[in-house]
Amino acid sequence: MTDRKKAIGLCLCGMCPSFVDCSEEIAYCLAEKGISGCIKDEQGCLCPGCPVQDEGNFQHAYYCTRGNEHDQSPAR
Amino acid sequence: MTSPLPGKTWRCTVCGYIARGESPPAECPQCAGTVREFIGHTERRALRYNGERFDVLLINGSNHRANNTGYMADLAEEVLKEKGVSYRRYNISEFTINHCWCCYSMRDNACRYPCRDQLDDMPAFHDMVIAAKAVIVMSPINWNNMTARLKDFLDRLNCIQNLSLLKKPGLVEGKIVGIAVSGHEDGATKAAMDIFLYFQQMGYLLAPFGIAYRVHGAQFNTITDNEFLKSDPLVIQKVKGMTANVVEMIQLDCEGNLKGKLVPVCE
Repeated sequence: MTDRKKAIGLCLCGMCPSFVDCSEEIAYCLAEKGISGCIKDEQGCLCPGCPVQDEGNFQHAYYCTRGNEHDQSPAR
Repeated sequence: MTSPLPGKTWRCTVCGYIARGESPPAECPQCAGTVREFIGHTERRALRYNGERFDVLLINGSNHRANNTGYMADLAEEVLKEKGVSYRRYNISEFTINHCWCCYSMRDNACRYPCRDQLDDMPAFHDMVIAAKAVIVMSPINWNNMTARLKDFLDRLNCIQNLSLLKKPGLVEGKIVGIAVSGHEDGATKAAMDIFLYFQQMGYLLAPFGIAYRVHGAQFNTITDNEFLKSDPLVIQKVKGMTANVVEMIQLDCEGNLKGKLVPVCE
């Protein structure tokens, strides 16, 4: 999914226990700089069940604190 | 439960009892675990995997990090060191592993890697299972079976196994597994085969002579069985042999040679 606006519409970030609303654009998995400026504590993650994750066939979690899909991928 | 004594703090990895003092108690007052089960108590932080590749993931599935099964894990470590194999050992009693949520039973495609439960240490173990070329799993016999902790660990591998049912590329096919079981009652082969079935369903290959078990009779109690096992040459021969066989299989690179060629057949 390359359409970020569509991704934001499907994204579950706003329902996530780790989410802190500081007016950032969500869908951190696709964001150029995935890491959030205000979410610091990992208190659960809805990314594994998110339709954006499913459509993109992504394989990571906690994009808001660990970086977007691309940035986390080289670790494997 | 927390001991009122002042000083350093120690956590029993079996039951979570926190003791204070210069050294941990000889026996946990809550669960009777030996002094070996205590570790320095620090604030718990979720396990993270740093992405560094390694060869063998060694899992001590016992509730006791340093008793009979822990001794078997020590023996396996000796072989892995001798052979220059990179490995990581984890005593799962030291980690938090939730029960599987069984998301697949709600909707088949709701269960896939990465696991939806990102609240405990299991996501890091998932990454290490995928990264390692082989897994060696060890368990004592509890009621003719593996420990409940280990069963939770293995149940949580469902998100990896379920990929084949979702027609997605497998992540562990062709990897190697070795198994060791200790105990002083019946059920060794049953426990070992129960463990193996999880790996068989994920496309792992059992190393030749890849199951090592040693049990002894009821004449040994929980104090003397540790002494028995540590003086029994067969324990050393079997566990070290199994570990060596796992290493031999790694060197064949079955995972690389079979990549894309296997037909997943699993439930």
